[in-house]
Amino acid sequence: MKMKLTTLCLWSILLAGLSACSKVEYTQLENPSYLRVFNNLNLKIGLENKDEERPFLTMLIDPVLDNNGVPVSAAVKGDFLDQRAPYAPPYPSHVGSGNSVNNPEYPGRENVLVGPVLNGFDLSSWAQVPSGHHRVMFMYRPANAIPFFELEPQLRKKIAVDTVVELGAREVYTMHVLQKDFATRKTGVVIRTEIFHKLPLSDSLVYMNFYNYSSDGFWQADNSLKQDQFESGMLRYGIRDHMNIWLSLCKPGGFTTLPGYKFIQLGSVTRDAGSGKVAPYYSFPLYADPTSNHISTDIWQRFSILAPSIDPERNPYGDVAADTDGQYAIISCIGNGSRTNFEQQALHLPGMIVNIHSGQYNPRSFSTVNTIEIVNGNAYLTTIQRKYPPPVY
Amino acid sequence: MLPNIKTYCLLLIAALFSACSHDELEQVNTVQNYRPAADFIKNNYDLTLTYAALQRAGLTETLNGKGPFTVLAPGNTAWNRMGIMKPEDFGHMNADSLRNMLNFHILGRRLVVSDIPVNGVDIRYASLYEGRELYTTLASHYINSPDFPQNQLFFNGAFCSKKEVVLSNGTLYLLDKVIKYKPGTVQDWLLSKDEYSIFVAGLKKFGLWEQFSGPGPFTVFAPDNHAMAAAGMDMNTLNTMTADNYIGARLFGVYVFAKRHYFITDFCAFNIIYGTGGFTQNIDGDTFIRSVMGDKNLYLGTDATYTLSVTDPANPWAGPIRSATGNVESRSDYQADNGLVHHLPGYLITPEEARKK
Repeated sequence: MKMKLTTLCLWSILLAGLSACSKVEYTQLENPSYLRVFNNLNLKIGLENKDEERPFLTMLIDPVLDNNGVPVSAAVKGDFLDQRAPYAPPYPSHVGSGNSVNNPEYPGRENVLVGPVLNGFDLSSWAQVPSGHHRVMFMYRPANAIPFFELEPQLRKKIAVDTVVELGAREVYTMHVLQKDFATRKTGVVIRTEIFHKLPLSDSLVYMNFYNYSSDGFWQADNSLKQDQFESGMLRYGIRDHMNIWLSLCKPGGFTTLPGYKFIQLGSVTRDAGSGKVAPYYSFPLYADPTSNHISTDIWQRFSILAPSIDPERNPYGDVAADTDGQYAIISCIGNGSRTNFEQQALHLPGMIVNIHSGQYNPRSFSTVNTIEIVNGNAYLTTIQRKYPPPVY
Repeated sequence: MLPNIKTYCLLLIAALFSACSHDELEQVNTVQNYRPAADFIKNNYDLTLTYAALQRAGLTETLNGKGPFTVLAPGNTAWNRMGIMKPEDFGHMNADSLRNMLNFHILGRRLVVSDIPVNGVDIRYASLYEGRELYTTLASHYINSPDFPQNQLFFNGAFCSKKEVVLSNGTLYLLDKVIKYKPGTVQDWLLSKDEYSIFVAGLKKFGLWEQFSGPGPFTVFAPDNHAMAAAGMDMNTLNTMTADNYIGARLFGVYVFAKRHYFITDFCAFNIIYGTGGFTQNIDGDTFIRSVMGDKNLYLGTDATYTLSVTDPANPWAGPIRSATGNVESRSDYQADNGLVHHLPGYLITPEEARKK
């Protein structure tokens, strides 16, 4: 017995020695800004445009350049910034998923300090960066897994964007790398100061706003100059600079609208790839479906984007038109964003209502705040969600 | 009895630790087995012509120097394709030009394949020819299938049939084509060849000539005088034609790709990376549709082929109205400072097809 006790004591001492107390020093930023970055350069590189740069970027905030103008270090680095994914989900789902280093957004896969919960909105998809005046560079980099500063100097020379931004303390920013001009291929950034966390948004309404960040001269350009983006449907050749948006809410499985929710005019979207002005938010009730049980709902959203003066009920373009001269496009937010057979010429994005196991309900529906950005014949959905109760099993 | 066994065991272990030493053991120095670049080339039967060229240019001593070097050595077949069959043939060449040409095949560094970005297209490395840059393309794998590597390497469009041969002072790549580069613009290059005189006259007549003195890059598929004659154009008919009656962008612009440079094997490399060995597009500034495609059997190492064709947009269902194919690889990839010229042994558009209606 005594022997056993001694052994036990010895083991305890050994364990205590191994797990000696250490002081954890948390990294902290004084007056941070919250930043999320998307690479909207959605051109594909093929033989027909082989001398263009492949849009695979590295973001450098406050870079240090050597005498030859080659960056050698930076205060903040967002490497392997690939073209953005069609859907930017409310939680940083890119972390720990997949074995590629390619990052569909910043911070995305980067292991950095992220934003807090502001007014209920989870900002863990936003990185903390020091506020103030910053030089931001986006560099073209070769598509491999070598970190930017380990590349040979000659591969670190190609600048996509070199600009200066002013970031306010505790403000939430979304930065977009864009093509500014379709003919000259000039690139630039738009930095948008988000306001969703400052607005009195209701939990029973789903909000959305729209931006058209297409480049100058895209929709006017001849279709033969635009790359084939079959998946974008009618949107593939771009939309005109000023368009009206009409919302329809539908039941799953087809274009069966809910009573009172067929072609609701929301407002308009005007092309602006320069100012970064926040577009107004529109909304619809989470439980617009009178037959729902007010715990979960399965409706989907259909946005008809029409040139002014075209009435959606008297639309000269059918829903299977291939080329609408930039006057009509459909964005369908349905399911997980995969194509449906009843919306042949629509661009498909995931539904705006988040259905997830929460509390004792599986699924339970949550309203969200959404942003749709239309960029050169493509559209992207960013969904932001408030924190919700964890599931109870 | 038991302690005895233990003692023996201990003795045995002790014996193991004090294993017999061998002071005169000679270790093989593997580095001694590698030769410097020029010696390696001299001792390789497939590189006799390259060695003769290096001798004529007086580069052998340099290449046996400290280095490091990356030597892009054309095999004998590559020289044969240019009409150089025996070492004496280099005797007729200007030694300085030959030295520049060979220096364009040498990098002042040790370049290994893993240095080149995966699926890197036109990655540039400085050569010893006054630091002028070579374009390197590594077709690693189909863009969505990294698990099926192909790793085909091209320098300035020349296929690399053997990679990373270790030298004591660098590394060597075997090319199946000699890299042809001539300082000057595409204008200078076309003017230096009489066989394209009708094509040049046509470009001048229809206002397409001046662009070739600009920055580019350009890719020109140049039809020779035979091809132009077959299209019904010689100097006399060209002089009598009224430029305003014809669409010059179609008649002569069909052979010109502005702001793009294509080595002939780019089509092959893009086929590996993106699965497309060609593309179809409107002719710059015209409605007619032009297709270009290329291919090369990398396994057999046969000559690359390239085909251009044109389609009338009024009758797309009728297929291309004409196509022209080049299949002599040594007559492609003539590189100038602002672009590339490929020889085209056929024509695509007749004057009648380009007449304004």
